[in-house]
Order: sequence, then C-alpha cells, then structure tokens
Amino acid sequence: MEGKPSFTYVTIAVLAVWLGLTYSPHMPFNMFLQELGLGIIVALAVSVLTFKNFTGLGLKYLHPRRVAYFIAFFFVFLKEMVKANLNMARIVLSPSLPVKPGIVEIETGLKQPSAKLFLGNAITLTPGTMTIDYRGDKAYIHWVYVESEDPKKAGEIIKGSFEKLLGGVFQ
Amino acid sequence: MIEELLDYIGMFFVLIGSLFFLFGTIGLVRMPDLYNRMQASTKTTTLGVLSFLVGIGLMELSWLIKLLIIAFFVVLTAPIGASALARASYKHGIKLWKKSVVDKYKEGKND
Repeated sequence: MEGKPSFTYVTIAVLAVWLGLTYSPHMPFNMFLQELGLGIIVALAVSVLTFKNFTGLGLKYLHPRRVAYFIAFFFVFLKEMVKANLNMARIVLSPSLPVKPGIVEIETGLKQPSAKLFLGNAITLTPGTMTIDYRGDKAYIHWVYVESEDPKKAGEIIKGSFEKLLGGVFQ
Repeated sequence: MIEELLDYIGMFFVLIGSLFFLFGTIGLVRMPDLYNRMQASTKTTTLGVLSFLVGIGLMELSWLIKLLIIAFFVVLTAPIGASALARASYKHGIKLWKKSVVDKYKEGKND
C-alpha cells in the first residue's frame, strides 16, 4: 500500500457519514449537539480500529478535472444500469429465454486497485455482464449472451466508455 | 401542491422499483444456472433498491440525505458481494450451464 495511514482522514469521513445519517432539518439544536458528541466518539472509536487500512491519498481525487470525469462516469453508469435492467427484463420475459452464457477474458489498462474495483463494479451492474475475478490485468467476465470470445473485441463491448472515464479519474 | 406532486413522482419511482424486483425474481426462477441467476438478481435488485430509496426520498424530503447515503453504500457493495459469491461458487466447483459457449476462466491457471 502506498502512502501512510491517516487517522484524521478516517475520523472526518466517518463523522460525515454519521451526521448525514442522523441529521434531520427539524431537530432542535441541543439534540444536534448530542448527535455530534456521540458521532465524534463513534468516529474516533472506528478510526482507532481501522485507520491502518486507509490513507489520505483519496484527497487528491478532489481535483476538479477528476471530479468532472467522475460525474461523467456516474451519469454513463446510471444510463447503462437502466439499460441493463431493461435488457434483463426483456430476457427473462421472452418465452424462448435467449441466453448464450459463458465466461470471457478481457484486458484492462487501468493500474490502480481502486480503479479496477470501480471498473469491475460498473461491469457487474451493466448489461448482461458480471465480473468474476481479476488475475493481474485480466478480468474474467460472466456474460449472459456472449457476443465475442476474442479478448479485444469483448473488451470493447463490455467496457464501453467506462475505462476511458475511469482513466480520467484515476490517472 | 408541490408536495402532492412529489408524492406522486415518489410513488411512481417505488412502483418502477417493485417492477424491477419482480423481473429479478422471474429471472431467478427462469435462468438456467447459478451465474445467470446471480446476474438477474444482482442487477435488478440494485436498481430496484435505488428506485425505492429515491421514491421514498421524494415523498419524505427530510430523509433524502440519509437515503442517498444508503443508496451510495448499496451501489458500492452489491456488485462486490455478487463478484465474491460468483468467484467462491466457481472455486467450489459449481459448473456452468451445459450449453455455455466458452469458459476462459478455466483455461487460465488457477491460483
């Protein structure tokens, strides 16, 4: 792992999630203070236990260019997810059940583990494909309807524009 | 007026979400093997839950932030869970459907 563990970073992130989950616009101020106090205690406890696994490196992803790419990625992702579900609905509702399943291999140019994680997740939630495993740069994808067994061509179809957008976020 | 409108839009989202759940369940029954079944259920339930959460958030605006945080964690964890389960099933020896056309995963060396 690169970078050194950051205690403050984890504490602030946990506290932000805590406040997001407990805050409501109608709550009286002293109740908010109670939530804040308890939140600080919980955040400290959680980060004492887990901060060794997290670095503050994530902060560099707040660069405007990366954020812009991430927003673009997010919208493409939403669109693909809706498409995936309509596609799945079409498959399960058609009487002949048009499936031609198989596991194909594709290659990714992304290097960082977190970029690969995002790519894998995006692939799982998009039309007809599910990431099973990574071996180095190769990803193994279960495909409900195999359109191509060639790693290059399958990669183009499966990854779509995700890889380019994630490259913009992470590289 | 606005609140009523938001109520109806929220209900629409909840309805769409439950439709996706229905499709996912039909897929779970009709698909031929574990991997295809997991595909059907993972995709549809993730979007179904998202649609539900957004719908409820529109009906009850003060909950929206909490629901968006929940949605974020669902989207982040559901596919990881699916991949881990599929990988574990494969390593455990659960076979692909006999009409599957290709299995590149087997051809590479298992480590």
